[in-house]
Amino acid sequence: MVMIMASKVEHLIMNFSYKAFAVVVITIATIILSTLALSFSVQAEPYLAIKNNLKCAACHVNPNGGGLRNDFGKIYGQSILPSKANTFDSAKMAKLTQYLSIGADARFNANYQRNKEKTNNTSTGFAVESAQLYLHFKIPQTGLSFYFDEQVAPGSAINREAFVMYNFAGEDASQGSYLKAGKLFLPYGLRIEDDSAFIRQATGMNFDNSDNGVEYGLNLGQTTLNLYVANGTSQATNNNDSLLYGARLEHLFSLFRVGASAVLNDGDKQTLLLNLYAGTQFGDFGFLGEIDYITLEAANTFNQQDINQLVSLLEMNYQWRQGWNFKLTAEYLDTDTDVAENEQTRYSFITEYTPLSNIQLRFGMRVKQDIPQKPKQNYDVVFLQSHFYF
Amino acid sequence: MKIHLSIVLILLALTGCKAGSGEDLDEQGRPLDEAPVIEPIDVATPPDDGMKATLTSIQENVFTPICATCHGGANPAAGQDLSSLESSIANLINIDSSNALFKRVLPGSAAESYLYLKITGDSRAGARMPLGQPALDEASIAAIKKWIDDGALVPQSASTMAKVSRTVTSMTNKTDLTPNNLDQLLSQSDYIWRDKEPLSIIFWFNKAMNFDHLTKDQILVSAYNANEITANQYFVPNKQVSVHVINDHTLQISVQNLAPNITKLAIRLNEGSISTLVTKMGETLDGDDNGVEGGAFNYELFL
Repeated sequence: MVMIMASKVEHLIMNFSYKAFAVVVITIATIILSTLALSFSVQAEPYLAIKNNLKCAACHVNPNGGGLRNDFGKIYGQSILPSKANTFDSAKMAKLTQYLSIGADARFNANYQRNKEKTNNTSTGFAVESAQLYLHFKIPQTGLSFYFDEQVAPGSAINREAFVMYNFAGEDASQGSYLKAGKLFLPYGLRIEDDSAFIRQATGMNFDNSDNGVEYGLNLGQTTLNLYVANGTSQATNNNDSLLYGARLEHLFSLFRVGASAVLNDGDKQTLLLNLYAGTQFGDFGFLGEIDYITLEAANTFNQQDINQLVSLLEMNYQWRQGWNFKLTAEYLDTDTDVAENEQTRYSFITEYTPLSNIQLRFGMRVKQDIPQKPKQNYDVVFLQSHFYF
Repeated sequence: MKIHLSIVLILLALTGCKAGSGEDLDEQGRPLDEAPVIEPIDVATPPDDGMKATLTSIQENVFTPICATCHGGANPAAGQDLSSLESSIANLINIDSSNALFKRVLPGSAAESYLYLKITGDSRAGARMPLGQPALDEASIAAIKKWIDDGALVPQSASTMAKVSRTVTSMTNKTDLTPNNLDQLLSQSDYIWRDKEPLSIIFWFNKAMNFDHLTKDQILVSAYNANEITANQYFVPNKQVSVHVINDHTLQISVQNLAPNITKLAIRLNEGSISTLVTKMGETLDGDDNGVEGGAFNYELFL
């Protein structure tokens, strides 16, 4: 009986792989529809925002999330996230003056990785994955502020974000509308922390790839709209004759959220990014999903045809008890939807333990699968990470 | 019950996809029945049987399978697309890096190339690449280093025009430079010229050139004195100029016994009215870097 079941499951899985797009669409639809039908108790990383049904701006200075936390975000990280909260007031400590605040993130990893090469196929070591310092300066009573995000390790300092922001509604970035200009992380889809995730890697919308441009954000109740124009690439290959245009729309319903993004990079060869994302919470379980459809104009070097790519992420979080979170993610990347049997997958299991305020330990395992012809891209990773945040 | 059913559905979906079998695909994940992707092949390179210090080999073994997972696709990391040979050429050679002190690839000098610093974990270059993956194997790193140190040649058949990729000026009267002792010259390149000292200018070309019939008569060397630049330009006599072919893509032009009061030295290569430089494939040098074959390359040195 067990074998028959296993066989059926295997058959089901085999068939599912050919219909991955449909599976992801159905799954996200299931998340949304199920939440409408089931009882729900409301209780950021995006899973925290979804868990609390809040916008990213509730916890972060940058309305799009990531980087420096605001007062509420600092208090959340100090008191609600960890198993045991410290008694000091981290929000107060971070405020150098009433108008100048600082913050930091530092991640230190121990990694083990093994790929499918026949020789030299393992690597082990320690690494400072990244360390960032943040600075936020507000001009009193004007809605005007300056935000600075600098990666200071490993290696030489690299500026990630540096922008001036004007809030039309005053100092609360989660209300009214705002205008940002400078070096920005462009708002696109779910801003998850893992830059190596397919949805962040294939789209290039990650924390290693900010851009120079202007962004307008509009908050209408539970709806947020971002419109932006940027260079289209962050560094020397920028084509000054063309720009990138993008928009993101997100709405928080009482039980779930949905959002969509669209980006047109109008270079010599156009790139179009479209995505749909959603998230919801069932009790102690939180779910996120994102699908991206990418069109690369004339990217096929053989016939100069467009290449279309499909990328997805599904993530489930389970809060076992305060300070403990288990994360399971499944990712899918089809690098050319016109070519069969070229898909990539990645599965991750992460345990996040926050024993004390401002320190989180993460233990993770990832299994990356590619076609057998790419042995270096078929690998398993085990890592232990300490994450200091302030 | 509904919650349990939903969670089971989600878990099923989470594990519902698997990687492709790779059936009928090549090592780049492209269909075998799709005619071979037109990848320029080095004329002098024998069939690939491992990692070589050529851009074609580096592209096939490192850039495409490893780097292009991030530096490719819709929005390449750092705007640096390494997914094809042509895009790697366009995005690496003589392109400014995020550290203002370095080019991504500076022909002739791996130690001053951000790409090399990145893959070796040099602290001046931030996070080691490939990000989140094991460091490149030693053979790959050595091949990239040698490719850059050798002048970052591009394949003969690449659509990129043949051009001068770098010039370095040094005080030396050595005319026996070889690829192996070029380092000596580079170490003397930070100089203050003193009257009458010999000057050597090294020209790197991005493609293998045909220097077989090159003579110094085909190179115009002129000098300007200290008083009135336009009125006092003169051509440096041939006997003061020497040309030394270091290898098929590196040329040394030396000038000796310059007058003490000169303020500028100018060298003109590929002057169409005299003689043009061509690659081994017969492609004319794009001296003025306008994307079209031909045009003079002008080098100027203010003294």
